[in-house]
Amino acid sequence: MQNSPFHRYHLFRNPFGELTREERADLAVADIGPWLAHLASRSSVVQFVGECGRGKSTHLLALAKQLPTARFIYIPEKGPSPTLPDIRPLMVDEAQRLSNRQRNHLARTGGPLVLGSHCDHTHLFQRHGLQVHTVFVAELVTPSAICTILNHRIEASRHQLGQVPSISMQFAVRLFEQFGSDMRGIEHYLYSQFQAYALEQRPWPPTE
Amino acid sequence: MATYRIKIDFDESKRSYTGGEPITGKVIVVADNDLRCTGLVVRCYWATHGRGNVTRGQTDAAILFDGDWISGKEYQYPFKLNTAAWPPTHYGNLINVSHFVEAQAKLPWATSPKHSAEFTVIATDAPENSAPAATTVNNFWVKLILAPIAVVVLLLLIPFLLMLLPLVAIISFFYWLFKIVIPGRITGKVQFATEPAVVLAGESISGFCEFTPKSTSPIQGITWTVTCTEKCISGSGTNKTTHMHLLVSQVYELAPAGTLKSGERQRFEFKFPVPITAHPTLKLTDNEILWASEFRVDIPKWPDWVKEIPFVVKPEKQLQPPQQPFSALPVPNNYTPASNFTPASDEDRWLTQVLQQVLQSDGNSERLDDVLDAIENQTFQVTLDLQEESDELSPAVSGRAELEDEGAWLLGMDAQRNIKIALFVSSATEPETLKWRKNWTGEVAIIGLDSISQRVFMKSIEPSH
Repeated sequence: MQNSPFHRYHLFRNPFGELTREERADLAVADIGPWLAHLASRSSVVQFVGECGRGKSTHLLALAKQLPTARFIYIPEKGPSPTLPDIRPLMVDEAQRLSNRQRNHLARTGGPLVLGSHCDHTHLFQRHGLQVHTVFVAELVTPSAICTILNHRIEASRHQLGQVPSISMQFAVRLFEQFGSDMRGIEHYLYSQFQAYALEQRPWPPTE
Repeated sequence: MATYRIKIDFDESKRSYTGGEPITGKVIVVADNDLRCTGLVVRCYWATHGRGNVTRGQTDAAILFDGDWISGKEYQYPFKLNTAAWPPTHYGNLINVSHFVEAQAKLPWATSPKHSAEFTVIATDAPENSAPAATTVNNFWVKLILAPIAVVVLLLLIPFLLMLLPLVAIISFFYWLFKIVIPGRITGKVQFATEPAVVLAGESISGFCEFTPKSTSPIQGITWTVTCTEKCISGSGTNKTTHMHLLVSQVYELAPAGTLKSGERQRFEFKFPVPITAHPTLKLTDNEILWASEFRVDIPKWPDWVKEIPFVVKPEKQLQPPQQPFSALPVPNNYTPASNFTPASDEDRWLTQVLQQVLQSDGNSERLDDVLDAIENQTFQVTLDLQEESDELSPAVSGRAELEDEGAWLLGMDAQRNIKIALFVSSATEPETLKWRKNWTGEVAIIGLDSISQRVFMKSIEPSH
């Protein structure tokens, strides 16, 4: 029989592993109130702009949870692009992969629209009379946000009552200095570190 | 806001369950105010967690209650749910599999907290293909419908395939050239086979390799490597990443660096004892544990001759459900205590099962006690590779056997079963003389288990020979 290496931390899993879409939405640390208010208008667009691993999809999922009637479309890198429905609100992840024709069609059809993209599409949508609210996701990643996000993930992996490990602000600052706003890089680093400590039955996080 | 506290208590919290066996317990609810519950749902499921995308499977569920709860009163609802027969609990580096019972009360117009409790599942069998049955299409009518569609799609793709054909041909040609023709110029035709294709944990996989070199050539060596790899996929689309981690990598050097002479037939035979504790092959969506063996002729400044053959490791089928008393295990009919031991496969198998039971009792002291009680008066004939003396183990370390004050612990291996052991030898037997002895045979009692090092504690019963 194997014993869980995570129970000694009062956890049932490594908190920095992959999550389901539902869990990512539940654990998103974002003040989505103002964005929801902006999306109340039919001519509104909220776009999350940033590089890979900064939290665009997580923010989209958090908004999707609050917009149950919205349609969520993921644009794959390869293969046929899915047909964009005229249903609104519409959420499009990886919108930088849309063709010009698709982007123009989206803008003509109007909002509310929520986009996750590597590129800023403000000018296109403004030309069609839409009000664009742009969130540069990298700017949301601060040491304080890192601390909160990671501690939420740890708490969501709780197995039983007792003290679970916690990320101090000092540790979060170090992670920010090392990885900047690359949240995925931080998660991968912490996964490997936590896993090694758990398998060696050592206290985590390291005290140094 | 309507709230409640919820807790799951298993009837036997410390034991592990055989896959498919029912788990029983109770859900305890205390409401913080008067509540209407439209369904107290309890479900049993397994889930992967770790680096790969999460895969889940639900095995059983039940509604335990539907009605009103009074503030402050404690309610208890017993449950009995079937556990999943597959996959077993696994804690690895990239992939983990856990089994849970989860309880949640449905409340009108309110979010309701969930509570889950984890338990351990040991598998005694695996699906035929070690993959979820749902991924295979066996239905005749489905095949009948799919066949014409496949033909039409193929016809439509013909122009596209014709365009790709030259590229495929070039890639295939270079693969054939570098992997088969060029190495084959030196090794000649190589016959490499392993058996069985499906092996039970605790048994062995063996194989052979035979070839007659076409030309005289230096080699860096010939190796046979057995690997067990965790392979998982995280993300999707552009974020899709494949992660790999080696759980086992056992390299056997079949021939050292030297020269292969033209026309001189080479034949190598090899055997790998799959550890009793080896994790079985696992094929879940985005999460796999794969076993394979690779034969390699390392040719300097030339493409190596390499061939990999995957094999499947299944859990030991003969293992008895751990909830049964250990004494209920089938002792071979002709089994007699080791003092009258005559080597026979039944006795070997019996010892294998005993060791397996001991190792699987790790973390469950109650079960370990049951196992050790059942074999208290038995001795076993063993063949061990003994190593150095342990400085850390004291005579009292096993905690239950009456050991002499004078003696020493020798670390070692049961190489046949790939199990680490610690052997207590009394001073009268002169432990110094046994250090670093290969294939030491002797009579022992099995007296405990070190859960950290996974060593089985044994005590030497009579002088070695």
